[in-house]
Amino acid sequence: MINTNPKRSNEPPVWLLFSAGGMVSGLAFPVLILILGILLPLGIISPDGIIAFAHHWFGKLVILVLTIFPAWAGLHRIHHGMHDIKVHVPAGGLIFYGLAALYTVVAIWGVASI
Amino acid sequence: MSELTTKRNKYVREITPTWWKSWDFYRFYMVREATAIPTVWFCLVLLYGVFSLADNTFTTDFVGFMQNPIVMILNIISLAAMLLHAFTLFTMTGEVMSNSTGLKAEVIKKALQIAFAVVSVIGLILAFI
Repeated sequence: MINTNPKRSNEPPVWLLFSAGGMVSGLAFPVLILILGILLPLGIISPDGIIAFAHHWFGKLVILVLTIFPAWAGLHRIHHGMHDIKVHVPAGGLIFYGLAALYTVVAIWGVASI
Repeated sequence: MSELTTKRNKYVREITPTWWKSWDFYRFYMVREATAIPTVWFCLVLLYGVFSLADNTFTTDFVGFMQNPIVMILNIISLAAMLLHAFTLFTMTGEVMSNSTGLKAEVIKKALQIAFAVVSVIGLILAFI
């Protein structure tokens, strides 16, 4: 008998966020780490430009894209990577995607309060 | 319904948690997958940056945090990991997307590498102005 109501996988929407996040982090994280992690602490660039950028609506949008998508991608890949090393986290999907959802909410809240 | 039973000892190939250590190809796969950890690390750093911006403590607390030697080392490792992630991703995306788009894998790879260069240059220009 054909099951007309199969259990739907949550993977397609997660994959969308994961592939977007993989591309966002691939394109932007290297230069972002260079700027925030090396140039800024060494005093080569001034924080004023970053602060002004973050207060502009477009800057806020950029920050949301740069935080939310890579967080989903990273947590999705750790979730699946755990199985590769035979660590089967109980309710892993709920934990990792729950953390990603929590991160999303907190990031939106943070950016909204800048 | 009758059930098929068997006394045969089914062969189940044993897989150890260190299965990937046996071959360079697998080892590289695991190194690539491990770049997910620096991704999450830097996402948390960015989140801290966002909240320090909201509290007006960016120049003091956040910059101070980034000046911590351990944080700097973690960020340098993350930078290397993200470069590995980026360039392997561009190659893979070319291979995966070439059938559905009808473009040559090499063309997609080159386009993504150009996009990477453009994003990096724009980022640095914005950082220095």
